[in-house]
Formats: sequence, C-alpha cells, structure tokens
Amino acid sequence: MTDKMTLIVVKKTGHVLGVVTRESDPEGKLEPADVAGEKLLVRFVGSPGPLFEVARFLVPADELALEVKDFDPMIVPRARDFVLNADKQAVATSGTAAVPDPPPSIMQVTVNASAAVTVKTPVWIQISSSTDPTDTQVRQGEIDVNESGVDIDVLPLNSGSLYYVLALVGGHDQLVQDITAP
Amino acid sequence: MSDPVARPVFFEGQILGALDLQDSVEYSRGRDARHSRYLHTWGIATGLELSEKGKQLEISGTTFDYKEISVSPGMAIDGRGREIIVPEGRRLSESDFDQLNVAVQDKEALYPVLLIGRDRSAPASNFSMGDCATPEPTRQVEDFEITFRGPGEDLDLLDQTPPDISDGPGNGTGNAWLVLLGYVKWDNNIKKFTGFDVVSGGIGRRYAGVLADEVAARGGSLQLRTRTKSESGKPAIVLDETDGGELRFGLLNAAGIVTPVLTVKANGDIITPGTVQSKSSSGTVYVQSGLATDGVVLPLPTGVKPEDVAPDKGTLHVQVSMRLEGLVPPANPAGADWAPVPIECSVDADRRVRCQVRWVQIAAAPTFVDLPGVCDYVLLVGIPATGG
Repeated sequence: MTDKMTLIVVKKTGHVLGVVTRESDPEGKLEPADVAGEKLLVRFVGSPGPLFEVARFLVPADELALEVKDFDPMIVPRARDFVLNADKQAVATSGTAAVPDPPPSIMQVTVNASAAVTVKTPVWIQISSSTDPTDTQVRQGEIDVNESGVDIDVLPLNSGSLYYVLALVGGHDQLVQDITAP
Repeated sequence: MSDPVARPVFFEGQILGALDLQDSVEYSRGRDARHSRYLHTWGIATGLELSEKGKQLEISGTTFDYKEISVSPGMAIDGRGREIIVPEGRRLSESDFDQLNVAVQDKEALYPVLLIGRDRSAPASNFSMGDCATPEPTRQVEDFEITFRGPGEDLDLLDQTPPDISDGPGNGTGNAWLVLLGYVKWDNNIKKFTGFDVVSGGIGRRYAGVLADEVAARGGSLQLRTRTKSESGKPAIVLDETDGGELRFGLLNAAGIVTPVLTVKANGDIITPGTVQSKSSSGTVYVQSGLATDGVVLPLPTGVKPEDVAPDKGTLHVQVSMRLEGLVPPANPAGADWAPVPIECSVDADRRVRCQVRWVQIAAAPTFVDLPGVCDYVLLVGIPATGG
C-alpha cells in the first residue's frame, strides 16, 4: 500500500475536505479538478444532527489545493477534523466557530471564532440555498487580531429564505449552520 | 508581372556602353539575390548583436543613469535577397530616435530596432570624358540604415511584401525591407536609451535559414544543433551510420560529441535512460487503485485524460468497497458501543464517490448516526485498439 496520501484542502484556510491515495504514481502531479471535478461534493459536515444529514455543498475546484503527505491512518477516516497549519502540517482542529442566525442583513453574514484571536485568522464561507445547492456563493474574510468575529459581505440573500452556511475559520472545527435571511 | 531574366552577351567589334557593363553586374546581383530568397530564409546571418554601456548624465544637479546601445558588426540577408553588411560596430543614435517621434511616456516600453539596406553613391570619380562632362560616381556603396519604430509596431515584420520572382535585390529605395535586431528602452525626459532586449511579446531577432527538401551529409554523419559552434551542454541530434544506422539526441560534451539520452537504432530498438511518457495508447489497460473519501472524484491512471473515457472512447471499470478498517464511531454519547453498517458505497457517472456508513448504537433503544465513509477503489481504463 502506498505511503502517501493527497489531502484536498481549502486554499484560504487549509481545512481538509477529502483524501485520496493512488497506488500508481502516488506523488504524481494532480490538479484539484482531477479529484473534485468542477466542484467537490461536501456533505456530512459538523456534528451529527438534522442539519448534518441534509446540508450539502459543492465547493468550486478553484477554491481548493492539493497537498501530498505521508500516509496517516489516523487522518483518513476523519479527515475533516484536520487542518493544515502554517507549516503545511495536518493538525487536529480545535475550537468552535459560530454563525449567528439571523445574519445582520441580507448583505452580510457574521462569523465568530471561539475567542478573540491572537493572529489574523482567515475565514472562508460558502452559502447555499436550502432548496438548490447550485444556488451558492463563496466569500472570504479575516478576523483581525484581538477580534473574535468578522462581518462578511455577501450577495443579497432572499429575505425569508433558508440557507446553509459552511463556515471555515482558521484552525477551528468545520461548521455548518442554517440561517434565515432577515 | 515579372520580367524575364536577360543575360548580357557580346560580339566581336561591339561597342560597349556603360549600360552593357551595368547589365553584366545586375545579372550577377539578381542571380545572387534569387538564390538568397528562394534557397534561404531572410534574417540575421551573423553578428548584429546589441550591447550596452552604462553612462551617467547630470541635469540641473541631478544624476541620471542611461545606456549607450551599440550594434556589433555583422551581416543580414533581407527578404529581397539583399546582403546588408554592417562593417564595424555602430552606436545607436539618440537624435535619430528622438526625431522619429515614436517615444511614449512608459519607460519600460520596448521600441523595435530595425536594419535596412540602402544604396548610396560613392563620391564622383576624378576622371571625366572631357572638360564639359560632369564627373560621375563609379561605385555604389551597399550601405545600411538603422531606424526605430514605436512600441508594438513590429507585428507586420513577417508580412513584408516580397519582390517579383525575377527581381534583383534593388537599391534600397521604395519599400525598404526591415530586419529586426532587437528592442531598446527610452527615457523621454533625458532623451537617452536606458536598456535593450532581444525579445518582446514573443517576437525577437530572426536569423537567416535554409530552405531544403533534402539535406545530405558527405561523410556519413549529419548533425543538427542549436548553436553555430559546437557548445558543451547544448542539445544536438546526430544521424550517422553507427551499427548500420542510428539517430541520437542529447547534449554535446566539450569534445562536441552528443551524449545520447535517446537512441533509435536501425533495427527499431529505442534506448533511453529516461522515462517515456505518452498520451494513452490504443489496445492498453491502465490501472489505478487506492482509497478515497466521500465526495471525491476518483483520479484517472497516469497518462489517461478525461477525454479518453468519454462515451465511445475508452471503457471505464470501477470497483469500490467500503473500508471498515480504522473507522471512527460517533463521539457522542461517550463510551457507547457502535456497529457500522454500510448504507451507500458507489461511484456516479462523474467518477464521484458516494460513501456513507450508518452507525447503530448497540443499546436497548438503538439510535442511528450516518457519517461519511472511506472506500477502497480499483479503476481500470481500457483503451480499445485502433479499429475496435
């Protein structure tokens, strides 16, 4: 069995969304689209519950990067519990992010870290319609030092509609939250 | 329409006029020009390299750096078949450039430097036919001119109008043929050159070449290389009669001998110490295997492109099975016993894995939790042989 694995990560935050290995040419060049298609299907994110079962996201391949690492049997079965740190090493996520519902407006979504951050922390979100996963938008932001959250501008949401938000805050656990546009 | 080529002939007792002698010269010039035009491609034959020398200029107490740009001696053949010879190095003239009014404010803009062949009459001879006759020059100097154009005005250099089939090289008047030597940068504030380049936007110096449908060696060995002189470390191809015939590609060593990285022998053997990569070949089965998590598109084997597995092309065979080894049960409730049950392990038409495991809590009142799974996969791509 190969001793290498390819992690599929979100470029902005390093969160691992999937893993693939190849017995033949395990370190050969791959592009994100080779293992994601145009969009990577991401489902069953966060903690088990009603939302966990239904929320699914199609993450555009150009938001992704690939990292070849030594095979680690601890990472493969629970890959989404890991994130690449600044040294590109896969480490377990810690801390719970939050997305308050309802958001402040139809044009902003708030993302909070578990506490005030000590370094500038990247934030990546994907917002998908609860009824149409192809109705989606990806937005990015950063939580400034000594702040615990950031308001991210989004394309106008349909007032009263339900959306699923996949929120990735640097180093934190992956989060799925449903929000209703005010 | 092109005129027929007329060769001067003479007869005993003929009184020769200047035109008869001139026609003799023009006949040879025309023949040389047609040879250059139709058996060669136009461009730089040798030399004509741009070089720079750093200089400083002081204006109102402020020092500015600039460059003196020169062209080295050399020769080019233009598209009329005319030889253009620069007999000695020539510094590019800032005043000539300035007078052309091609400058723009962008200091990084690259201006084409162009060589043109021009005839110039030599000084008149001291000899005359009589006191009333005006002395005439007895030589035409095959001179040259260096000119410039504005940035980007080099796109038409490959589309210059060729002369008629029987024409000679001309005298450089009319539509002059432009030979690109490189590009210069210009500072319009100090009216000086600030540097040069040999390529701009993928367009660069063009070298003279050969038009040939048959190239034959006389000594049993033919070499094709990328430099005029044999230089160590530069690539070359050799076709010779070693072992009954051999084609070798590699880099030249200091002795001018190719160190082959690819050899094709007369018996069909192909020898290389490197790897051979190619697009998928017909009549072949490619295999890839490994493991993948839910949502991932299974990667194709190396050498197989997505178009190879399009409908009516290659055949894709996929086998996936849920990987139970190392599965991690739900964390809550802590200490509970769980049993995994595969409920989904498949691959869709896009090779996307859908793998889901249902965890059943072993308790009096069982609860269920569905989690994403991991699958082992084997993927085979069959590329049919040509013709089926």
